[in-house]
Amino acid sequence: MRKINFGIIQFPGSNCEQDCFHVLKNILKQNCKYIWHDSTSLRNIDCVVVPGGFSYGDYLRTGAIAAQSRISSKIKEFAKGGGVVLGICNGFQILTELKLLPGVLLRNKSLNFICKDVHLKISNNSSIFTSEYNINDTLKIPIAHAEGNFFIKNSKIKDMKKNNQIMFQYTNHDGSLNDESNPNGSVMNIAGICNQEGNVMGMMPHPERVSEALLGGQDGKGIFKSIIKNLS
Amino acid sequence: MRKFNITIEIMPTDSVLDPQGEAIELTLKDNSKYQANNFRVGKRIEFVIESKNNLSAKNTVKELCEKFLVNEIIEKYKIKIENAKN
Repeated sequence: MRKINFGIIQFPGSNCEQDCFHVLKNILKQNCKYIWHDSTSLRNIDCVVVPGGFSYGDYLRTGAIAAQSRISSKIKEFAKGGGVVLGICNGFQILTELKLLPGVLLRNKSLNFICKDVHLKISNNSSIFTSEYNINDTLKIPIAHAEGNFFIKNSKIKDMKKNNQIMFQYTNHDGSLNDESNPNGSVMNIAGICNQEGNVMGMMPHPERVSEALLGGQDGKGIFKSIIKNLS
Repeated sequence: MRKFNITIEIMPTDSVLDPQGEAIELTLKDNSKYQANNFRVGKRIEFVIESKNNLSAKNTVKELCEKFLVNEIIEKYKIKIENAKN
């Protein structure tokens, strides 16, 4: 199997890029490099990872300033050309600001920054990002965000359902889905979505933090393994 | 070219839950003195631009709002333009 070339984007204020790098390079043995925000090249990259953090201090709106950076216009071109893009936490927020993904991430309903393990249901396992899972599998993955409340107009949510764009939903530990299992007020308990074409995914939980047993779990590893398998 | 002082008032749209406004309202709920409700919290941005005239300035600012300063999925905005003292 050929090694996949991952490019991990770094903005001022990114803080999860090293975790992603560690998982992809040291655990999954892939090629991996950091790409600084004012770079203008994604040459030879197979998959772009937009990591979590607080790019540009979350000024204006989360992800809004990062979406204006030089590399972001290249990410947009890359995605429009069918390139695979994964956005995690702040990366998800950036991808919505870039309009590569629909909707927006609002302030958590509770106004609190929430940092805890949550349970997720796999709502779509026929994607590049989730093919290693079974439908309705329940994963335990941590979230760490203040703006993870996914919002989209009612009319658009119907399209998303029809196009199978809902990837993960917050559930209870037994896989049941209700208001109690919704940590931040997201529409339909949505924790992760993809674009209509299926090559761009954003998710608020952090799979890179649970990709080795030493760190307490491996439930997130399947996302990276899915990408590797589908691209190689 | 003329200089214009621009003020943009940005507010959450009516259909979006505004937890900040809600928190303020809840805090004042037990205080009957003010009888204040329907709080919404927004932001205000000020800057200066150079443009040919008022209309071209307005068009530029509108484009800037749509492309960067405002996310119209969740926010609405008002633009105020004044001649700047040079």
